[in-house]
Amino acid sequence: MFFPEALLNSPMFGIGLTIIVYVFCELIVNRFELNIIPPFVLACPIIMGIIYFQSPHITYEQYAAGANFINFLLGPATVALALPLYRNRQTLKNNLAVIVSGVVVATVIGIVSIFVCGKLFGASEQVLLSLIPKSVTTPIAMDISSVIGGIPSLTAACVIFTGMFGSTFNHKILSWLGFKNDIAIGLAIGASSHGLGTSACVNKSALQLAIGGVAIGLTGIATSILAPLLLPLLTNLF
Amino acid sequence: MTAGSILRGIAILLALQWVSVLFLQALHIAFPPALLGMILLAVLLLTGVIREESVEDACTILIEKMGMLFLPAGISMLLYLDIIKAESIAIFITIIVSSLIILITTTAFVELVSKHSKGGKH
Repeated sequence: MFFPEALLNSPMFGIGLTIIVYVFCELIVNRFELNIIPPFVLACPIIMGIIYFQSPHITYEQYAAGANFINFLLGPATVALALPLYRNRQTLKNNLAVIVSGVVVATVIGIVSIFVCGKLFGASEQVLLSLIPKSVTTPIAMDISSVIGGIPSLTAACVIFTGMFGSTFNHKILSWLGFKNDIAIGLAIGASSHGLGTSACVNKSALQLAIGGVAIGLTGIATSILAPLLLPLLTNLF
Repeated sequence: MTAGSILRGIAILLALQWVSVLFLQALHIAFPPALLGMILLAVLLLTGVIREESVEDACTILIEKMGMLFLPAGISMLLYLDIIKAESIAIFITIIVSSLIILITTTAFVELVSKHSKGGKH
């Protein structure tokens, strides 16, 4: 009764379901102060559940017909990431050599470690390629995934999980190991767990936050250049 | 924040993405167009061709609500449930192990480099 045919066959269904459920989850997160949980993490299973348990009455294609309009906005949203990069330009300028070398090291180690780990634990080619950009911010990661032959939606899920793991454990692990340099910590967090991880720097240090913000954008650029170059080499080696 | 400033910002973002698609197609380069758009916008902001005020409202909205924008992508996992179920252990272990490796080696590397280059600025 909530889902009459006339609604299901219009883009209103996919657009409406996405926006309404997302805003509802945002309200829940705010109401119960679940700040570590991004609304996405609640909204995603809810919508998946509705489609999954109402099938065959509701099909994925009916949802996608409207959802594609929202998905399209990821393009301009990715372009928009230039703004935080621009706003942190002074931090970038002051620490250029350290940041650039750190981002390159993080990206190379990331690609190699994901490849070796994935192979070791028996991930298939498609899944392995979907995991490669997991440390990059979601919209860029999905783009990279489709360029190198992964599954963009699986990449999105891996990116979110990486970010949640990072925002929960990064600072604990680093302080347990005795690291204190804010530049090093901010850069490593931005490069390993993108915006979700970096958001945990908010109440730690402004420098960490700024460096993390720069690292997010630069890691996206570095991964999209280095992944297509390193993957053939790694495939030959292993 | 006004309706006009948001719309103008979105027009700029779309125009940059449009140009990026054209450029990459013409040169047959496999590179994410939106990412090239991001690099273009960063360059145009740094050189002062585009002023921060022209794009900041649109950028702020899109970035703040980005979680909603990738919901459709997350939900398309429904199409790949079989693969994900079959390989979930490999996926989780790879994410956790490689996250730890990246985090620790990068912190150690940067700490080492900044100690040697500046003798500890902090």
